[in-house]
Amino acid sequence: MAEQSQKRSSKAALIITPFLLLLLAGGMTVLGWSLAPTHTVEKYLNIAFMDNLKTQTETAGLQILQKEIDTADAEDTGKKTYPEGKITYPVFGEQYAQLTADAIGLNVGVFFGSNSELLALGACQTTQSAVLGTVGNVVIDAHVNTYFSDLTKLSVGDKVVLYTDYGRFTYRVAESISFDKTDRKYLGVTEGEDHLTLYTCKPELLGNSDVRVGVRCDLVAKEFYEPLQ
Amino acid sequence: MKRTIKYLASVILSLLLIFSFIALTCSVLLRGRALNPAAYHRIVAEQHLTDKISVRLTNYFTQQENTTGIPVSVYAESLKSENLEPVVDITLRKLFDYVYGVAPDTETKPDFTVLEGDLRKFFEQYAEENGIARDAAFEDALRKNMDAAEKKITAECDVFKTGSLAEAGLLGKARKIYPLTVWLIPVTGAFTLLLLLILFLMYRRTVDRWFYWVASSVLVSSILMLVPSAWLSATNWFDRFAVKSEQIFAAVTGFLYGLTHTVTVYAVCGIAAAVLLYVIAGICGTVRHRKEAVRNAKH
Repeated sequence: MAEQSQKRSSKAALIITPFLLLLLAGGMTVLGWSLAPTHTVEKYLNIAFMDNLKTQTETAGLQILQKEIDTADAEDTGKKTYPEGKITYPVFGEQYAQLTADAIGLNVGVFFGSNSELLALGACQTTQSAVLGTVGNVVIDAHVNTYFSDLTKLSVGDKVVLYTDYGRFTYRVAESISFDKTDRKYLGVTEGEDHLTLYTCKPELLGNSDVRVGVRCDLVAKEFYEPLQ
Repeated sequence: MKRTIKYLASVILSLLLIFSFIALTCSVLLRGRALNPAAYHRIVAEQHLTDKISVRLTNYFTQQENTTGIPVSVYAESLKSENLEPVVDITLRKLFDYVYGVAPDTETKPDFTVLEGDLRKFFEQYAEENGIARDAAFEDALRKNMDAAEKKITAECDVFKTGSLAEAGLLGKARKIYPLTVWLIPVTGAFTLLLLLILFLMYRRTVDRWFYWVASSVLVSSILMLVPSAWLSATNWFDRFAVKSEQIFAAVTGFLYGLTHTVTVYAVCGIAAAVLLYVIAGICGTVRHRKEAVRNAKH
């Protein structure tokens, strides 16, 4: 009887032992993992392998909207204009203006926002600058090898006109400018003053330049197509 | 009482054996995969990384064309997959030379003779067509463009982010630890053999029990490795790495998934070995009991 009981408990031990070992070893592993400095390893992995930007390309989600902007002057069309009026605020990637400068034969679309894809299509306005029709500094840039190749040929007094769906904005060149790419002097906000800043890279022999050149213009006229209510 | 003490001793030895098996497996993986350049070269080939790098660089220099005035065709020869392979190889070689303590840093100097030749040819042609003097300013502009292009190509070919790892201090730590890893396999192997020997001495008269305890240890260690590796693979856990470059993402996740897959395979083999050992234990136990029954019958 005692022998049979011993045999039964022996068999039970044989069956239970692997589970007991799994429980004990698993528990010790979990305990050890919770005490281990895994946050340090995670920190290093994050620094090494986590880029700040997403894995998608620069244009992920970008909707580029090109359109025809009417550049017929108001006098030619007999359209009534107003000194103050409604503004249709653009979205990133939208072509919301047409930039013209007869002195250098410039006629190029202006996109709201600036990245390599938009710069390939036309001139780009930085989103931090004032929207046309509002008070402030409108900042527009383009590639020197394409749309702004003759920008530096503009002289003081030359007329620059920007057409939008909601109005026409006329500027006159006030000065030629040149600044380092890290200098924000001409690109920042101008409180209470209306300016237009056009700039591009200084043409080097070939390759990238650290210098930016262009013109700073003063506002001459705002002509809105729809009055403020 | 004696049986209980023997059982408890066996449990403790088995627990030590479980972690010893896991440590031995990790040591083999560390020396055989993580610290072996051949494993990384295999990933580069399997993931077609140089093709991905070629596409990415071509797109980059195409976008740069409007800014620099240098057509992407100038870089075409340098950006071919077969010409990028040596650059990837040299960054990998430098990574391991640094970790092994052979090189003082991870800076690489790939051979960009083809690229520099193509750029010089384009610049000289441009200068001739536009009447530009080939003076110091010309050479300076040419050098600047060469340096910028070489820097970009080297960065894109650094598929295992040697630079970031070095900046994060990981490579420095790996360099310090590497000399110790030489002893990993011998030490863990010796410890495992020692535990097996102690268990054998305890059960030298009942070998079936020795097979049983070894089988249980192998089974539990395999389960402890299988569960996390299978979970990592099933949940595609390494896809959470947010890496901008497609080739770097492919390299890093390819390596980690490969490592995880190897652990899973080892674990499954371990479970199969445990089952075999249980069968052997059962056979040996049956033979022993029959012998004992015959001996008892004679007496």
